Amino acid sequence: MTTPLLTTKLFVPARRANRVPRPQLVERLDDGLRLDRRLTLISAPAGFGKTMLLSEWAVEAGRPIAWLNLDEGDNDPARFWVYVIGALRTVKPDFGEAALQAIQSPQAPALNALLIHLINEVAAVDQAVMLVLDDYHEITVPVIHEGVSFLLEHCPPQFHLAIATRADPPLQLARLRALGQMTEIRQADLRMSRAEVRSFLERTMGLQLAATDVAALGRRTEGWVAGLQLAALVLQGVAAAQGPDEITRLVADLTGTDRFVLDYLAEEVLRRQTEEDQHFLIHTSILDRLCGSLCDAVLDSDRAGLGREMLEKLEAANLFIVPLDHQRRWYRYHRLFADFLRSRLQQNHPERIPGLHCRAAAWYEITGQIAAAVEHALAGRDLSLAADLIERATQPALMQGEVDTLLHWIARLPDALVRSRPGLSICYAEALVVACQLDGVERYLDDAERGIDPHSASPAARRTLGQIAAMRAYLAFFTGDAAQADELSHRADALLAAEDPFLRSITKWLIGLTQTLGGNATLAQVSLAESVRLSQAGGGPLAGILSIYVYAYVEFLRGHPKQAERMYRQGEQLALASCAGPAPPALALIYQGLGDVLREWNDLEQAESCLERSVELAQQWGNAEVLVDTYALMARVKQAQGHSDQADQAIRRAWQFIEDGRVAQMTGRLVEAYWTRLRVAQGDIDGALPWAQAEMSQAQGGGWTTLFLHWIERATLVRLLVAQGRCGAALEMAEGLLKSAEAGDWMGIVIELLTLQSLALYGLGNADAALTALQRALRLGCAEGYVRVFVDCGAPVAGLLREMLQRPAGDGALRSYARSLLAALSPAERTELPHLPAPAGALPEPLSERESEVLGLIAAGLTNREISERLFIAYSTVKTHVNSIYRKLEVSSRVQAVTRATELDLV
Amino acid sequence: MTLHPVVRYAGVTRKEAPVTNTPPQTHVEIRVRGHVIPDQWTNWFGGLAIENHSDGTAQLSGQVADQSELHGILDRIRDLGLALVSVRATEPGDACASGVFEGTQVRR
Repeated sequence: MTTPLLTTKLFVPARRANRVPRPQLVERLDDGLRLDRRLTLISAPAGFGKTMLLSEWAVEAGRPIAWLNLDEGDNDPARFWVYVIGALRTVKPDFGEAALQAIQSPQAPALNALLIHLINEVAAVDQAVMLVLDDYHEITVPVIHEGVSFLLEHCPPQFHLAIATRADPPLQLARLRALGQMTEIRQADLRMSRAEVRSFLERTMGLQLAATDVAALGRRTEGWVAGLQLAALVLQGVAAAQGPDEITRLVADLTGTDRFVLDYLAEEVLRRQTEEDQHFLIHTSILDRLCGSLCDAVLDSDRAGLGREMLEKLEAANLFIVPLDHQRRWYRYHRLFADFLRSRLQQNHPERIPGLHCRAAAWYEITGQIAAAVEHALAGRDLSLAADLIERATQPALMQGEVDTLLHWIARLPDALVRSRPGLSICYAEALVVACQLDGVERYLDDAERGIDPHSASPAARRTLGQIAAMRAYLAFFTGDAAQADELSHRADALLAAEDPFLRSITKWLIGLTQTLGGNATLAQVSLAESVRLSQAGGGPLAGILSIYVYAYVEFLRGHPKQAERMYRQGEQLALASCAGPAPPALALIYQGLGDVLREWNDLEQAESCLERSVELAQQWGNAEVLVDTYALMARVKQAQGHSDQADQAIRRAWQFIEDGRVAQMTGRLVEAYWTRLRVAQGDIDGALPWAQAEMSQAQGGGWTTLFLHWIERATLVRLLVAQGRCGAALEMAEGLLKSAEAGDWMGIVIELLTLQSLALYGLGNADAALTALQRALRLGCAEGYVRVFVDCGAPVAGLLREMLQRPAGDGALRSYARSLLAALSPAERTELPHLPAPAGALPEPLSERESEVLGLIAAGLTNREISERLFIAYSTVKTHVNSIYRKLEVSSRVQAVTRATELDLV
Repeated sequence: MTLHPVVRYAGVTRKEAPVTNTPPQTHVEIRVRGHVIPDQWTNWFGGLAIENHSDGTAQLSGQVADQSELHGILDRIRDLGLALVSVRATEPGDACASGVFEGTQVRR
């Protein structure tokens, strides 16, 4: 359910009786259109007739006009673009339907994706269209300027943008100017010339003035349109009542005074109204828009209908009041005049202002316009009213993607107030979570919880407690506390039992996620499936996509990449079917997972294209976490393709996010692991060492959670140890991990660990055991098409595979699988001899038993003499052994021997 | 696997509650073209003192708390069609320092 747009913001202002005709300027504007320029910029201070000029031009422009009056509240990007689409819909009724739906959702697409979509739709409209943005100076948020710039840069030729503003907007104007793409009308252009002043005063306003007076007015106002309009208003009144002499006196007064023009003239205008009218004008000046019954409410007038009468009267008298619709229901004051009136109010009756705002807030609340009610409540400093209204407005705002507005509102309340109201604390916490500002959330959840009876049975209380639990679960999860996350998400689920599908789908996803972390994949998949179901039953695509992502990843780790691929495709369908417009950014996750599976199958080109799509979506999403993982995967793909440089490039991109501090610590560790793998794959062992040393100290500890989160890092460590030739240590570690993985049925992880185990065994000289392990891995991977897990090990695995094929045993399927894997290796890797630097067991000449003993004692620090005594052998024998050891180890000193022996795990 | 898929970052930060000890303030002098009647306008311009000069300009002077307040006042001047002549800012305790408003920094 979305809040309907205020049609008054889209109303094209009618031509006024007191307008100044500006034919030359209109011609310039027409020229701009004829020359297919992209932008018309009208930039001048208040009161120079910008809107007047645009509306005059609009009537004659010969193309449909979409008009949007901007105000401060449009600084929320979601709201801004919704209104732009709304304006374009006045020209083409079904324009941007899909985009509209996409924006007004909790997870809106990134703006670039949205804009591209809109631009395509504009291109499909074959008529020329003009979009007018009036009062553009109200927009201060950079992200909106970026969007408008983007629009200007890429819009099709039939689209023209016209902007009226009091200050030049940051829209690359210099560039547009240089390219001749912009028509500019500025203050100097808008000043009225002598002839225009004369024509306006005499012909348009029907005044009869002496030439000197006309000249004096022109000089005094410096051709300022609003000034002349005000002057004309005063003079008309005077002429009617008092005649020509009075006019001259008035002009003399005006030119004689130094008071700034607006002040003098507006004061004159105001002075000449009845007291009742003055009262009305001044007290309704606080309103941005006026209608009869709103005015009645604000003024607390006892006569109904007075407001409406007044507005009509004011319009008839041309008193700077502008209609905002055809039905003459809504009006607004010309800003200049409103500011003047407000200053009167603030100067003479400042104590009344809060009361006026509060009455306006009450009226807006009754008529269901909550956003406007909030603004007035805040302006009137009725904080408890504002708080009430904000609580009501939160759900719709979040569901419509207007989180910025919500945050701005709450920021204007004192912190103490927010913290003392559980309902408001929850709203704020929710908004912070959606806006991804997790640091402050905990505090507000604590406050909210304090105010609620935990055993309350009331549905409202249960819902709030459920929301709190869900958010806490999310936070716990974010900090890696799986147990807490699990407990809390279950609690949330129980409390939210009968609630809306969106919240429940998210809760189920959280439960599934924590169950996954806890190693309970079966249960997890039940929860995740339920989340998908709720998602499809009206909860929106977000939770469904997230759940499928986890589900499929779990399948992959359990050794079922084919099932994982099927699920990812299902997720893709879910996302694309959810709206016809730009896809939800969460689709980036699906493509990431899919890319990983395709990579494993050695389908590298497809993998790359999937990952590229993921990067694109994640960049638009602005989600660094996803990007980092995807870049790391991309690096693996590139390395597999043999493009080491590009692999380095990709991993460096991921690294950048970590250095910028934009991702969680856990993610950082993961990237370090991938980076290390890359170094190992490229043969750069030294480069990989520093990480390994740090990692080793953390490599202790078991448990499911740790395995699931950190198996990549552990496995990388094993890989490195093997590459260094430290096969003993590698084996020990691999076997420890294998136990955990097998117990948890993570067969995908098992395959990798078995492969590494086999390499370690091979390195220790135990070819038989190595082959057994490898064959087991091959058997597990064969039916599911695993390739890279083997091939990424490079030359060493080639050696093993060849050895396996040399032996006569083994079934046909396995042998052909082994052959296909060999074929997948690069030629260099295939033919290269195993690169294990002097693996211990493969010493060209192994140490004898006695020599090993001696070596052990050398390492223990004994002298040759002490060794001879310990072993009951002759001193000279010891020396012979020592020399033999030096020869076999290729060293020339005791110290070197000990170092080498340690490296080779001989001691 | 990405463990933290969160929704789009909005980038709005909450303003901290104002500190109880008053922040360093800056004295400003704003000159505009046209006289401004103090009795009518001083509230509108944030309580700044208004002085009209014989050269047809008016000077608004006083303390502002920060950039935002100053720009708010400048916007109001702009929106009333008043032409800005000059803006000067002086740090408390310094001899007059002319030029563009630099921001509230205590230099001691």
